[in-house]
Amino acid sequence: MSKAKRLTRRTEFYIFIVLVALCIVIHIVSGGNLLVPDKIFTILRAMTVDGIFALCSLVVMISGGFDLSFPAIAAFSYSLSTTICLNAGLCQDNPVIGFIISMAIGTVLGMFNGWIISNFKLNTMLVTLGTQTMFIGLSMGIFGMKEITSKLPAGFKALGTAKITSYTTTIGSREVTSDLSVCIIFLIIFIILASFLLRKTMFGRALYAIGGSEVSAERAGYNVKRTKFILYTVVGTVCGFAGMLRVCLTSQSVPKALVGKEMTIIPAVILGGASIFGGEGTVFGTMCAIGIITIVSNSMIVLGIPTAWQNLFNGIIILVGITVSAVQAKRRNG
Amino acid sequence: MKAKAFFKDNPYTAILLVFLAAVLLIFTFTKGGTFWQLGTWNGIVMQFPEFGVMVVGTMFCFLLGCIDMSFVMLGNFATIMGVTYILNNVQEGMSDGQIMGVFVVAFFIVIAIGAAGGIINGLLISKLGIPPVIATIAMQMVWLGLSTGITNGETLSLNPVPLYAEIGHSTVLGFIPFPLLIFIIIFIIAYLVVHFTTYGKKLYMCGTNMKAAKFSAINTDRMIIVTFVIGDIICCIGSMLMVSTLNSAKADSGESYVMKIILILVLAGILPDGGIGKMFNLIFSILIIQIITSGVNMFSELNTYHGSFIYGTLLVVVLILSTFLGKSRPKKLKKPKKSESAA
Repeated sequence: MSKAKRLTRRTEFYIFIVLVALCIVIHIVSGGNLLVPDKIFTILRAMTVDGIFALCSLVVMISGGFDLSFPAIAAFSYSLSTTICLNAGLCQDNPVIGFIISMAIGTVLGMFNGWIISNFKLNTMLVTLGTQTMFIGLSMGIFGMKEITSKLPAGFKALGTAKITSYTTTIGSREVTSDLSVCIIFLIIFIILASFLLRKTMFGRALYAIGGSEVSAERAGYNVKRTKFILYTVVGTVCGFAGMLRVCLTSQSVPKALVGKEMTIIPAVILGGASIFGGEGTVFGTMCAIGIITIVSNSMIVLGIPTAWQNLFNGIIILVGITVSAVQAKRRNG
Repeated sequence: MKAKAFFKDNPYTAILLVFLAAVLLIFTFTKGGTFWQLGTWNGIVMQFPEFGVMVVGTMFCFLLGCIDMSFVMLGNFATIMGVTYILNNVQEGMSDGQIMGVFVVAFFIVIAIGAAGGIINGLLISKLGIPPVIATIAMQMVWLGLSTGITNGETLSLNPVPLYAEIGHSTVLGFIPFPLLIFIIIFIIAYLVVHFTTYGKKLYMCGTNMKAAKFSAINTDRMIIVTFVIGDIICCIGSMLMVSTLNSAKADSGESYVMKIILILVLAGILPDGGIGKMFNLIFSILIIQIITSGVNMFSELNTYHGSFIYGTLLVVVLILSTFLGKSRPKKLKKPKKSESAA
């Protein structure tokens, strides 16, 4: 099969085309208001945290799992971490300690997930539904986490407002400056890490193998139990990091903010070509899908869709996307 | 020994009875007299039917080996349409009989929307081959979007029509609360359908192995659609009960029910892998969850999130227990992953 032909059979290719087409269409409809630096900066900023979550969701899905608990892990990690930092007076100028605490909490929660899933060979969706509810209960019930907004340690706010470059436009008579946030670098780092992990390491190969067929992977000599344990632990760590990043970007720590986030991230990952049965999915496709979702939800007002109908619009995009990829998969598998 | 043999066949019943006893003991020791007051139990009996009915509806999908995540939002959309119809058509000075006429029409609107939702779910899963979880998550987003769009995210209050809530809070024969009666009727009908009809037998067959069922000349596509229609209609009836309790309809009411209902089903040994589980276990698991909810409410220092911590822990513990129980049952044949796409 020629290279071009192979390319056209991949979901990522179509997702990329849709992304490009969407950008052009919205750009034209909005009167040249999308592909301009300040709009792109906003979209990249909005993509940062969702993108990292999507990467977490992607690696789990490649291994044939289904993780509903990542927003709960992130929410618990960042609320506990910011509370600790606030009470101990940490992170006034350097947010690193906050990130370390958050990642440590995330790691512990991820280990808990990993221990149950790898040891008992259970339906990952049910387990993570249970742990998700547990973590939410833990953070807002047992630990009694509260919103932290104005009192947020200055270090976090500083990171959230730090910029690589800024761009100034004049709208009417006043000047509007928009910044390209530093946090986008973290997303790029995670994209590179995830691609490297999935393509070049034994661990990545093991994930694809387990997702393809767990029994075969076991016979082929992969340590399925250990791989799964490490996977969920790492996902927990990364979620802790992403959660903290969200605190910096929004400069508030709301324990309830991420509830239900999984319901938009997981469909987006599937839209990007990952298979819920495991063994399929690429970083590129996932990032394109997250790009589509973010651009659409950021352009609703420009497109003339009232706020109340945005949920429906998102739902329809997801529905159409998964329908197309399901039909494609059906045709491919005969 | 007869009892021993019974518990060997139904390991979940034994565990549920232990859980039930434990829950009752814990609340008796911590709250003593207040827990055993008539008011507490009146509350328990009044509250569980609304999600109890939804549990029965979702059970059909679970037995088929599908997870339905959309039922709460579908129910909300259906009841929003029903409530809108009621609010538009009930005028001042109408007699109770005329209002009841409006209610009947609204009831059929809700049922029709439930059936339509079921057909859409079924078609997406059977004809297009989308995995049930994903199809229903997407549909959930669509229904939520439709409801928020129509209501603008606001609560539709039924205060202008007090009769609806009055029916919901009335008692039949003087002592059976109306919601409980609905729950009992639906439960008995569902029990008969699942255990004593050919449809029920086919349901268990499809749930155990969809492919084998297909080769046994069962129209699996039709089974999926019919099951989702039945399940979603029953869930919409549950939503109507919820409207009467809250006296209002809202796009996102009952959000936490998805988790709660999956917990109840798993607790009763009805796993979403399909084809296993006995329906009578549901009574115990519904009771356990409702007693925990009511019990947690009795402590003023606890909030609903303590409740969700308990539910989450319980779900994880029960799942772990289920792996040990699984050993006594004949092992299911290992299926290659790809062929599960039909299930």
